[in-house]
Amino acid sequence: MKQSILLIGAALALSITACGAGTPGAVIPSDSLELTYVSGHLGIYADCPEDAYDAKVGKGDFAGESAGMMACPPDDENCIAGFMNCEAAEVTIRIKNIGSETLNGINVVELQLLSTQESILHSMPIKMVYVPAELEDGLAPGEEVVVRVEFQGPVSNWEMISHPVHILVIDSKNQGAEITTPPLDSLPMMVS
Amino acid sequence: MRTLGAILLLLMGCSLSEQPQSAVHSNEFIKQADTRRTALEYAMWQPALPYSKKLLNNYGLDDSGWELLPEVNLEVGPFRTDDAEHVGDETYDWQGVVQPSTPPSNDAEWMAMGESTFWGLPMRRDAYLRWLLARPDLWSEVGLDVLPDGSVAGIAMYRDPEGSIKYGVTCALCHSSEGLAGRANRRLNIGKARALYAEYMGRNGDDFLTWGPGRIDVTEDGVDNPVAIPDLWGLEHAQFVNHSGSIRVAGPVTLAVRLETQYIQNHRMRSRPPRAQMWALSRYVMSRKPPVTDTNDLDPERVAEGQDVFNKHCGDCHEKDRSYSGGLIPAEDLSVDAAVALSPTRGTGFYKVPSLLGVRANGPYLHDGSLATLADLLASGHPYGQALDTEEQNVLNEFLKSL
Repeated sequence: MKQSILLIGAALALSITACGAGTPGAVIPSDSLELTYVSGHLGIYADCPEDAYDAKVGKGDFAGESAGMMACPPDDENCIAGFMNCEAAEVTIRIKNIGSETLNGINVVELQLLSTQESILHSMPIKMVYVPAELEDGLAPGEEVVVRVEFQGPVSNWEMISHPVHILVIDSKNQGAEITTPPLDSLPMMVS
Repeated sequence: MRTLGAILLLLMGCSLSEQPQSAVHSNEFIKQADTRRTALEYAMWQPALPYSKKLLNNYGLDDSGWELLPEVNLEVGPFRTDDAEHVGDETYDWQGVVQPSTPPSNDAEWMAMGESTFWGLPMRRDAYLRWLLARPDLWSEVGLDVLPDGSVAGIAMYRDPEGSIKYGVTCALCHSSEGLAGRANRRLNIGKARALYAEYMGRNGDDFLTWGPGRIDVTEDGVDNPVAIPDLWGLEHAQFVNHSGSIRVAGPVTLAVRLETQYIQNHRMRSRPPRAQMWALSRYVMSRKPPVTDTNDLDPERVAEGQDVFNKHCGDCHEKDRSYSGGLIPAEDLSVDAAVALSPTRGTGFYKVPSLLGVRANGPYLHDGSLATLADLLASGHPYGQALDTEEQNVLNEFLKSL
């Protein structure tokens, strides 16, 4: 299956999240957006810790332009300088329009790392949002799409570090919905 | 309700061991999330382990998690020696085959599907694989088998959902040797491969060199504790898989769940495999038996004496009716390295009692492959073997060679 995707780059995502310290202004709760968790992980940065999110660096912003560039698998032809055990964190959600009007401009604008008690630890830099091309025409009533969000995950050496992630999705009218995932883990080097 | 489900699962496991051709049970695994969830909860008998929690948080849920992942039936094909020069060439005119994914109608077809899945389905990506496959001069050094048809055992090419050619590892990479499905590849040196790649990338990969051939560190716990790749013999009767017994199994349903969740995690949790293939694979690996043991060099009288010793001292744990496997033994009761049993990610505090089928050819022994021969094992590695006098050890050794 070849899937066309729109890539909403980190720059755009950051420009939105930069407003109000990562929180878009005055989001109105949406009666039409329904979010469902599908899957996710906190990436793996064992061999590129400099690419991981470090709250002490850059005051919670990207560590620099190179952030995320190395956190990619070497078997990916788009990976410029990948080393093994370097993959960006990601979470996939399903977005469904349960309302009666088409929703436009749907975007993931905030992603927060939570503690196991679900208090906010950090607002995580979004690297890329992958959405199906059909979303360009808006999400009609009853339709659903699956959206994958790549973000800069926390430094972690092994899979015991688990954190839920809180995600905010809004439409062009600044109406939004949010979801908290189950605790996510770093991507293991080798699953057996 | 869950308890009832677990009982049903056990019954299914028992009946499936006897009548594995049952289409009813394959349908239950393939079509019913409740069945998969029940099987998962049975398998994750220590739910507080991080490894367990991850699966319990994601698999077999009613309307979220991995149930919503798209089923992707990849276009796959064997990786042949001729393909090495095309690794990384995105213009390579390669065509694979989409394997059947609809449930077969009879047992022979299920086994055939399982066999092709075992050899051909990329269960795992591996970061260094593309680099390694482009360098055939390294293959022998790291224990890759080139089969008579020119394919590299356990390596598959596939087209990912975005259309790119990728390389993956099939079950056969670790669990086949010289074309024999089920026999651990004890020459496979994954640690060496990773170290070589690390060196190529200007990094220090010396830690991987401690693994040695036939051993892999899978615990992800920050501790260097590689384990021996196991043979697949006797899985039909196994009660646990993984050396620390972190996964409890009861027939092909639990094993199919274990295989599906393994695949999902190794494919970045972006897709799931066709469930018919997972069921077929489960059936196939459970059917693996070692080659018939050559007993011509054994003295039948001493074998019989050894069997008496076995029945008296070993048979309670290594149950004959379970392919000489058994349950779990507290790590503290064994004179072995307890690191794997105590791993914070998957450690249960126990080691499983492995099957002894074909044990003569299964060395090196113990979970960490630390003892070369059966005689070594009985003399210094197995507390119950150590309790025997030398003559008892010798005849027991003779009996074990006959299994």
